Amino acid sequence: MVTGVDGAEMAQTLNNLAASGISGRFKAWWNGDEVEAAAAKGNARAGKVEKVEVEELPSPSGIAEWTPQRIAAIQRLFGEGFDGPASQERARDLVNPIGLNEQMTVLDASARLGSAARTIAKETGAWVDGLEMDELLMEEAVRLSAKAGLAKKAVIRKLELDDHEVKEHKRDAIVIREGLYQISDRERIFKTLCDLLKPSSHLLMTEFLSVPGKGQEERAEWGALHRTSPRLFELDELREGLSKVGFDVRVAKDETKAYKAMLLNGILRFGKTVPKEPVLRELQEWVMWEVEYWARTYNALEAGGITMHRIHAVTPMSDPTKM
Amino acid sequence: MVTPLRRLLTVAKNIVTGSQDSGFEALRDFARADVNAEVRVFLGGETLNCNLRDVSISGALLVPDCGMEKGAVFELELDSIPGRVEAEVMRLTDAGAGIRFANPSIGVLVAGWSRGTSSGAMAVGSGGNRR
Repeated sequence: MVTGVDGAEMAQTLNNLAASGISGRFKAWWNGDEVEAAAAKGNARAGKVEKVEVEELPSPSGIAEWTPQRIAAIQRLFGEGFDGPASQERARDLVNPIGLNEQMTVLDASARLGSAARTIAKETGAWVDGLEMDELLMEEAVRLSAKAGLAKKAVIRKLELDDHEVKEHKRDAIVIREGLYQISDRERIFKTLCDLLKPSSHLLMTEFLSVPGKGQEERAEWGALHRTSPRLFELDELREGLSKVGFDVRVAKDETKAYKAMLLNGILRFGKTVPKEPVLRELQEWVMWEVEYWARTYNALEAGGITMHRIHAVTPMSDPTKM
Repeated sequence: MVTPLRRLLTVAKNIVTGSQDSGFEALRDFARADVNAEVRVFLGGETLNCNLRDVSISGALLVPDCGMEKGAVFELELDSIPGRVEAEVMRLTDAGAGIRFANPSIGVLVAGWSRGTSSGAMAVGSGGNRR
C-alpha cells in the first residue's frame, strides 16, 4: 500500500524491517526505530511528503499466539518485561514464604517473558532457569534478562520439562504461573514435577482453575481466544493429582479477587500512560486485542467460570534409610 | 490492496442498502465490532447511562444519543474501568450518536475493553488495517 510519510528515514526503517524477518522486525520496533519514524511522520505531515511502499503488517488473528507484535503489545500494556498483570508483585508473593537464597536453584516452568525468573533471581539471589517453548518469547526473555544484568542468573531456554538438560539437576523450588492449563500431558505432569525437586522442596503455582456449573459461557469465550482449548483443572483434581505423587499441599488459596484487582489496575495504569506515550499506530490493533483478551479473562473470573488459585505444595522428606 | 477494496465494497453495500451512515462508517480507520457495553456519559453536569455499540479504535455508536448535538464534546466512563475518556459527537442518526474518541490510543483501551466484556462481540466491518 502507498502512503505519505516522512522520507528516507522511514523508508530505510521499513526496508530493514522487511529484510530482517519477523524477529528482526520486532527487535527494530523495540529498539525504537519505528518510534522515531512515527514521530517524524507526525511532525512533518504538512511539509515534506514522499511516497514509499509500506509493508502490510499483520493484524491480530483473534487467538492468543505469540507474534512479535503481540509480544510488543503486551509489554506496552503491562510494562517492559511483563507478560501479565502485576507480574513482578505476583512472583514476589509466590516465593516469599519459602526463603530462597543464593545457594538455591529454581525452575520456572512457564517462563514466557521471564518476568518471574528475573524477579526471583534479582530479589532472592537464587539461580533460576526458565523454560519457554515459544521461540520468539524465549528470544525476548533472553534479551530482557541480559538487559537486566541477569543473563546468568535468570536463564531462559527453549526446553521442555522432559528434556535431559532439565532433568540433570534437582531444584529447591519450581514455579509455574498459569501454565498447567496449557499442558497436554496431564497424567504425568505431577510426577514429572515431583521428580525435578529435591526432598522437602517447593512447588509454587498460580493457576486458572475451572468451577463446574459456573460462568460456563464466559469461560468458553475466554477459552475461544486460545489456539488450543485450555484444559483447566478443578481444585479437587489438582489436589488429588499432587497428593497422589507424594506432594503435601499446604496452601490452596483462592486469590481471584486480588488478581482481578491487579488486572484492573494494570489496565488503568496503561490508560494513564497513554496521554504522554501514545500507542504506535502499528501496535494499536494489537494492544486493543490484548486489552480484549484481558477483559475476557476478567469476565470469566467475575462470572466464576474460572478462578485464580495459589498453590504451595512440598515434596516428601528424604528417606534416611536410603542415604 | 485487499483493504481498500474491502472499504469500497462496504461503501457500495451501504449505498445499496440505503444506510444513512455509509460515508462516515466507510471512513473509519479500524475494524469495528458489534458490542453492547454499558457506559456512563458526563455532559454538562449530568450523568447519563448509555451503551456503546459498533466500536472501533477511532469511535463508536452511542445508544441512545442522550439528546446530544453534533459537535458536542463530552466524557464517558466504562463499566469496571474508572477514568473518563473524552469524545465528540460526529453525527446523529436514528440509531444513536456516532462518536469519535479524542485520543486514538485511549480508543485502543475503550474498544478492547468493551469488546472483551460484550458477549460474542463480532467484527462488523472494517476501515481496514492501514499501515
